[in-house]
Amino acid sequence: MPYYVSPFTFQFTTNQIEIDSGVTDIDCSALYDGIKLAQASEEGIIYDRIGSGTGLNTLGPGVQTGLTVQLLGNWQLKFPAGNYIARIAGGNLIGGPSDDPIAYSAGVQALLIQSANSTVVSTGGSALTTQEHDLLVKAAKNSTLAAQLSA
Amino acid sequence: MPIGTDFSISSTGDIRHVSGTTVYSVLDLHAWLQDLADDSAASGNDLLDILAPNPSKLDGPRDAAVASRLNLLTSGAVAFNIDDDAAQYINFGSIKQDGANVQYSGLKTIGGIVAASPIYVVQSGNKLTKFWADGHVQILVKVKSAGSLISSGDITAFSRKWGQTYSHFDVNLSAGGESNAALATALDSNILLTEAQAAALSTKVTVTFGNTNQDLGNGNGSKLYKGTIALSGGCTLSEAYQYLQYLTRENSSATLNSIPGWRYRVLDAAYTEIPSAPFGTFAGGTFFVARGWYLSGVLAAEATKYQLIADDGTTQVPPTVVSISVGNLISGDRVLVARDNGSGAILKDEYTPVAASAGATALQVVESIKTDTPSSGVIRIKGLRYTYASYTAGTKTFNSLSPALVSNIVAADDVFVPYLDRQATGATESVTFVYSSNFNTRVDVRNGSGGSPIIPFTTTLSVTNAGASVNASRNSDV
Repeated sequence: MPYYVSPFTFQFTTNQIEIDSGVTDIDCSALYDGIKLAQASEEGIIYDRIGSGTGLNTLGPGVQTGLTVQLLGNWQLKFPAGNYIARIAGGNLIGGPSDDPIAYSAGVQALLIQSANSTVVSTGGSALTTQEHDLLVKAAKNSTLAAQLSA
Repeated sequence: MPIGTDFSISSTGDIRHVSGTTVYSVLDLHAWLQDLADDSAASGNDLLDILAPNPSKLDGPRDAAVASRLNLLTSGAVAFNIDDDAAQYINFGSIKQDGANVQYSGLKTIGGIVAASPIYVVQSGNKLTKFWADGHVQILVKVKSAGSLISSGDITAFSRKWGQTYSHFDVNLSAGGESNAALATALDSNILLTEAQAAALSTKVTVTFGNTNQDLGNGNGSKLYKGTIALSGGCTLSEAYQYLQYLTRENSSATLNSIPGWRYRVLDAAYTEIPSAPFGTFAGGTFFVARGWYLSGVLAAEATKYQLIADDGTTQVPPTVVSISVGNLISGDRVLVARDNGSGAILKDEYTPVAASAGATALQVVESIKTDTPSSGVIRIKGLRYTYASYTAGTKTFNSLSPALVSNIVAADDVFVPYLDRQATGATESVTFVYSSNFNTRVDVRNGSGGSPIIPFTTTLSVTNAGASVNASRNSDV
């Protein structure tokens, strides 16, 4: 019995995470949220884990390291067949059989946007004050000047 | 003292005890009578001489080493005889008189008994009045009167002293001579109460005679018992044992199914008796209840400290109920505890289903349902979660499935019964079941939602006759 949380359908018997038709952009964070729900569901509890997540370590206020999602065992992401480009972003997706986290789908070009040192910056809070703005501009100018001098 | 001093003989042959406490053998009596019978003239209160008829003869050899069979003879108006009082001072043999219409037979108790164990003799359902000292007895018992055997010559020797194990032995004395009754008593270390303390337990122990069908839940189904010993008020098995011994001691005034407690022996005559303890023995903290008795109201702490024997003779051991408990949970956690397949994974093909159609509310399996299966719970069929309300071991069927089967089931489909398969509603989830043998389980605790997702917790857990418990590790997931 599969488990569904939009836009993912977790097929426990085939170890595939099917993406809803029409969805071409997958956010790793959303994917991992779905994985956590699926493996803790009534359907999923009797199966081995689907994936693990690492990262999201806090670097400072509002800044975290990026998320890496590893698909375990033979689990793979599978897009519906079609002629389009699918993008997986918002973190790194790894794992799957032979380290291939994306299952083949006819006509689909999957684009995994990966980063070795990704960060997540939270937005929000108040805007810079005039004083903060001036300090920031000054620091940037100094940095640029120092770089030019050392070149 | 010579026997002639202790007994008198009237001119009509009445031999009576007149003084002294010495007990003489039957052969001593015969020798004395024959000695008088050749006297030229009677003297004193022994009115017997050569002019009187022959007073006695032996049926059998004259041998001081064996019990003698003596006939007191009757000739005309002279009928030599003893009475019940005189019989108390004669032993080691038997005496017939009045043309064998009256007979006293010898009874001797033998065997290993606690020194000075009191012994009583029951004849025709009544205790004989004791004229003997405590300890082994060697006496004459009147077994025939007015030409008729008393209770066919049957008597029973008992020893039932508080603080000792009990004993009794049936003997038939009709043949004369002297018969042995083997008794065995010992100090009973399980008697810890005084008689008064034991008597006070009457409010906590009720003995009821009557058929009752009871299922101990040990997999043997309902069994017939012919009586119930009901415990209440926190009564322990040890106390129950002592009270039941109290009911059957020599001085008991209890009546058990119209039988005086002091001669109560067994619930049904067809059962094998337990002479040492008519309601059952107590050893090593376990009450081995006599056949036919059902025990109710046993304290939870002693739930496995007794053993019954049903009416059909089968020993019924109460089941060991254990639990598996998973702790350190929060509401919403998904918990699964299932039998391990030997490699740390869930045993998903625990049972082979018999083909069933969608809509069915029962599922039969090929294998016998394990006796340590929870009486109700969850069953996974083709991976789907169903609940069952009961199972029938005989037909290997899980009953009252909910929901009804959503698809057809074939033999190749996986079926297994998890011990726990639920969403936690508190800090602990547990299940109880009847222990059968040790086994391993796999435990999974997961929570992937809301603000409290955890890295899935997985471990293996060994289940023993003490059950098993584990606390989940809660490590936050990203």
